[in-house]
Amino acid sequence: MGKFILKRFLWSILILFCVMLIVYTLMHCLPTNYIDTMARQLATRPGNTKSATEWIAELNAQYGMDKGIIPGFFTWLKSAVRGEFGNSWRWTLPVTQKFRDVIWYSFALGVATFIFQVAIAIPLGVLAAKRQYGIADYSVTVIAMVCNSLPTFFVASVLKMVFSVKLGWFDIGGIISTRTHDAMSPFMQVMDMAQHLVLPTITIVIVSIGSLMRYTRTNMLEVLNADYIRTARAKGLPESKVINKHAFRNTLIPLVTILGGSLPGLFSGALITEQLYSIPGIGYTAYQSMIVGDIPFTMFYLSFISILTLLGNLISDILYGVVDPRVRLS
Amino acid sequence: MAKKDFNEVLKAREERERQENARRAGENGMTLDDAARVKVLSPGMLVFKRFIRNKLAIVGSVILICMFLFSFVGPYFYRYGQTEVFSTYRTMNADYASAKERTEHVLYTLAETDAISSTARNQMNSNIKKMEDEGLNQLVTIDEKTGNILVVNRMGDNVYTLGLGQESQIGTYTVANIGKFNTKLGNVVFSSDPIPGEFAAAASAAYSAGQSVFEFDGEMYMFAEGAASKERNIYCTTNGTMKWSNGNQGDAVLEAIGENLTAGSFSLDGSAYSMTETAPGVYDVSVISGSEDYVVSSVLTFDPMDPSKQLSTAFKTQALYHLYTDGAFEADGQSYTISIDDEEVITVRDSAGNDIALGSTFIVRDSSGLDSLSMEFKEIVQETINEMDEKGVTVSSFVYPLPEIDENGQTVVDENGNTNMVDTEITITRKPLEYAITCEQTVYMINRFDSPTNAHPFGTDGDGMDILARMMAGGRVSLLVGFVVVILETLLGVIMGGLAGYFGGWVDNLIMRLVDIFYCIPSMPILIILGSLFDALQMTPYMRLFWLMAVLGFLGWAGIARLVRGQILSLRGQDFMVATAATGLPVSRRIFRHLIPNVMPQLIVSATMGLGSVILTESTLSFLGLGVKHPMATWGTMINSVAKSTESMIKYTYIWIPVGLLICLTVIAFNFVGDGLRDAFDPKMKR
Repeated sequence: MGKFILKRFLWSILILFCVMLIVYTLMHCLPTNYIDTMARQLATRPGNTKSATEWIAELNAQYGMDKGIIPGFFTWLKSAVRGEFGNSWRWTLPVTQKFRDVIWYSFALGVATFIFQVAIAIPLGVLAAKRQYGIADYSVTVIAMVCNSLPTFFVASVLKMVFSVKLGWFDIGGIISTRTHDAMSPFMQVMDMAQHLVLPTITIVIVSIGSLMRYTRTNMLEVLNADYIRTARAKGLPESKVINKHAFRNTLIPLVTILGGSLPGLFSGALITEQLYSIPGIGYTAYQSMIVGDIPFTMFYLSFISILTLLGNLISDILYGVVDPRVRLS
Repeated sequence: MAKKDFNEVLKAREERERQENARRAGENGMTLDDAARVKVLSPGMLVFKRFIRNKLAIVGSVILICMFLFSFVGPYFYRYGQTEVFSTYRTMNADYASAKERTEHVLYTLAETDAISSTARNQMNSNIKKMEDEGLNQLVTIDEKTGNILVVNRMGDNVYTLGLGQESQIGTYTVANIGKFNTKLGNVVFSSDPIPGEFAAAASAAYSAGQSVFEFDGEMYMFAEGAASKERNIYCTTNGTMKWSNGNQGDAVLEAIGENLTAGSFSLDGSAYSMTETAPGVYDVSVISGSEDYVVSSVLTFDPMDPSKQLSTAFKTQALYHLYTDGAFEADGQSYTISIDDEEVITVRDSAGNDIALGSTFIVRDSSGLDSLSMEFKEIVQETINEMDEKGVTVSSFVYPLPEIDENGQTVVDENGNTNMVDTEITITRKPLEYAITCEQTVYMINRFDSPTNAHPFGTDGDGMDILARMMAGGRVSLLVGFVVVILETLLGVIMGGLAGYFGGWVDNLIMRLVDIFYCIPSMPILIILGSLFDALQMTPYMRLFWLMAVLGFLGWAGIARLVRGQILSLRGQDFMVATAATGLPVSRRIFRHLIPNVMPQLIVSATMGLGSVILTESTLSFLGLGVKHPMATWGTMINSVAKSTESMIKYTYIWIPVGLLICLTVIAFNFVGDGLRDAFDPKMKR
C-alpha cells in the first residue's frame, strides 16, 4: 500500500512538473509589449508604490521572463517551491498575502456547496435507482440532464432577477451589506456573509448537481442487480434493510472515492460564479488578475489549481484502494 | 464444362428455397418454424428503432432540428439582416441651438513661443479674474514651468494680452546696520545709538521663534549672517535710504520696498518690483514691464454676417488685438477695420466698407456646437434673452421660420426647388449655465433597446439591430463553433487514443501521461488569459473566433483519447482482430477499417455530449466578454451586452431571457440526443 501511494505521489509530482512547464511556457510566450502595457496600466492605479519598470525587473528576477524558457522555468520553480510568488500587480500586495485574505470566502462557499450537493444528489440518486423506470427515476434523470446543460451565467442572472430584484431577499452581489455591515455584532456579521453566499451556493449546486445524481443512480443500480442483493431479498429481509444496509453501503464505495477526490476542490473557488456575484474569493480575485494581465497572481493561481486537481486525483486513487479491499493495487 | 462458381450455386439454391417457402406459406398460412416470420433488422436500423422509442431523445432531436432550421434556414426567410441598424425620424421637442454669455477667455496665439508654458496659458482665466476683481490694468506672474516673468495686460473691455516681462532697474536701496545680536546671550550690541525699550528681548523672541523678520516699535527689522556663528547682524528694513536712478517713484513704493525686502518681490498698482541683494544691506530694485505680447485672450466672439463663411483663427486673433489700438488689421491677405461704437457694438468691416462680422460676448450655436445660424436668428435670440432677463422669467418663446423636414428626414422643397419654410415656435429655457433653445423638429434616432413589437418580435439591441435576426446569426456561430471544436478534438483524440491503444507499450505510456497532463491543465483560466490577451492585441473578431476554436479543440482531446484507447484495448484481444492479424492486413487498415468503426458508437455519443459542453464554454466566455466579439453575434455576446450591469439586466429582460433560453434548449437537446444515442447503441448499458 505504502509503495502504491509513493508511486502515485511521484507520478503526480512528475505530471505537476510538466503542467507547470506548459503553463510557464504559455506565460512566457505572452508578447512582451502586452506585459509592459499591462504593468504600466496597473502601475498608475492608486495605492501603488512601485513603478512599472520596478515590477518588470522584479518579474524578471523572480519569474525569469527575460531568460529562455527552460532556464526561466527553473528560476521560477526555485522561487515557487520556496513559496515566493512576488507581489501582485493588481492588488499591490504580496501574492501569498492576498491569497490568505481571500481563500476562506471560497472555502466557505465550497463547503456549503459540497454539503448541499451531497445532501440532495445522493438521496435523489438512490431514489431514482430504487424506482427504476418509474416517475421518480425519469424526473431525476431529466433534472440531472437539464441541470448539466444550464450555463452558470444564465442561472445566476435568473436567480438575481427573481430573488434580488423581484423579491428583494438578497443583495445582488458582494459578500457584505456595505452600508450596515460595520454596525453589526460579530455574529450578525457572519450571518450577513452567510446570507450573501446563499445565491452563489444555489447557483453552483444547480449547475453541478446533475453529474453526482446520475453517478449515484448508476452505481446504485449496479449494486441492486448484484447477486448478494438477490440473496438478501431471498432470505426475506425487509426491503428497507436491503436498500439501506446492503445496497447503499456498497454504493458508497465509488461515491466515497469520487467525493474524497473532490475535497481539495473546496479550496479552488468558483471562477465564474464568484465573478458573477462579486464574492471576493480566490476565483474572483484570480479572474480580476487574469483579465488585467497580473502575471504574478495568475501564475500562482494556475499552480494552485493544478496542485489541487492532482491532489484530488491522488486522494481518489488512494481512497479507491482503501475502501474497496478487492482492488488489487499495483 | 465451365468452372462452377459455388457461391452462385448456393445463392441460386437459397433463392429457390425461399420461393418454395413463400409458396408453401401462401398455401398453408404461416408456420411456426418459418424463417420469413422473423424480420431481421440491420444493426443501424436496430439502433434507430431503439432511439426513436426514447421520448427524451425525440424531444431533443426535434429541438435540434428546429434550432438548425432557425439558425441556418431562418435568415433566408427573415426580412432583416444581423447587422442592419434600425432608425427612425421622429418629431419631438429637441435641442435646436444653445446660447450663452461667454465668461471663459479663449486664448489666441499672436506669435509662437516656448517661453510661455501651457500651464501659464491655462492660468490666464484666473489671472484675468483677479485683475477684474482688483481693477488692475497689469499683472505680473512667474511662469512656474519656465521661470520667465509674464505680464498680463488689459487692452480694454474683455480683451487681455499675455507677454513676457522685462526687468529694468529703478534704483538702489540701502539699509542701516543697527547692531549685532548674540544668539547665545540674547543681547544686542548696537553700532550707533541704542534703540530704547526691550529691543533685545524682541530680537531674541523672534530669533528663538525662527523668524528672520520682526517688528519693533513700528519699524521692521531683519537678521542677517554675522561674522561669527553665534552672531547675527540686524538691519532695519523700513528705515533704509533709496537712491533713484531715474526719478523718484513715490513714497508708497519706498514703503513697500522696506516691508517686502526679505520676500524679494512685491506688486503695487499692477506693477511688479523685485529686490536683489548685491552687497550686505544693499539692494538693487527693479520694476517689471511688459515687452512683447504673445497671446491675446478674450471672451468676445465674432459672428459672421454670412453664416456659411467661417472666420479663421488668424482673423479673430488680429481683430481682437487691434480692437483697442488703431483698429486696422490684416488677416488672410485682406485688410479689415474693427471699431466699437457708442452702443458698444463691435463691427468688423472689410476694405470696401461692408460689414463682415459682429463681435459680442454672447454666443449662439446650433445643437452640434457649430456656428451655422443666421445673424437674424442670433439677434432675435439675444433680444428675447434680454427681454427674459428684464422680466425675470426663465422660459420664453418666439416664432421663426425654419426649413420643413418630412418624416424621412428630407427637406421639403416646393416646385421651384426652394426650401419650404415653416413658422416654428422656438422655446428658450434658462439653464444654470446656458440658454437651451428647443423646438419641435424631426430628428434621426437609432432604435436602441426597442421593446418587442410586430416589426421586431424580440425588440432591438443597444445598437438598434433586430434581436431575432441576431439570434439566428448567433445560433449559427455558436453551432459552428461547437461543430468545429468537436470535430477537431475528436480527430486529435482518435489519433492519439488509437495510437496508444493499438501499439501499447511505451507509446501508450507516453500518450497516457500526456493525457494526464492535459486533464490537469486548468482550461478555463487559460481561456480567460487568452481572451484578455486577444483584447490587448486588438484582434479582429474573425481571428478571435478562429483562435478560440483552435484552443478549445486543443485543450479538449484528452477525454476522447482516453475513451478511444480503452475501447481499442478491449477490442484488440478479440477474435476478429486476431483474424485481421492472421490475414496479414496492413496496420493502417486494421486500425481504421476494423478498430475505429467499432469505437464509432462511443465517439458519436461523446461528440454529441461534447457539442453541448463546447457551446456552454463558448457562451460563457462570450458572456464574460472574452470570446467572440461584437459585431459578430453569438448568444453569449448578446447576453453580455445587456446583463453586464444590474441596471440594464433588470431593464432589458426581453433580450437576455429568450437568448439564454436558446442556449439552455440547445445544450439540453444535445444532451438528450447524446443520452438517447448511448442507450440505443448499447442497450446493455442502459440502466
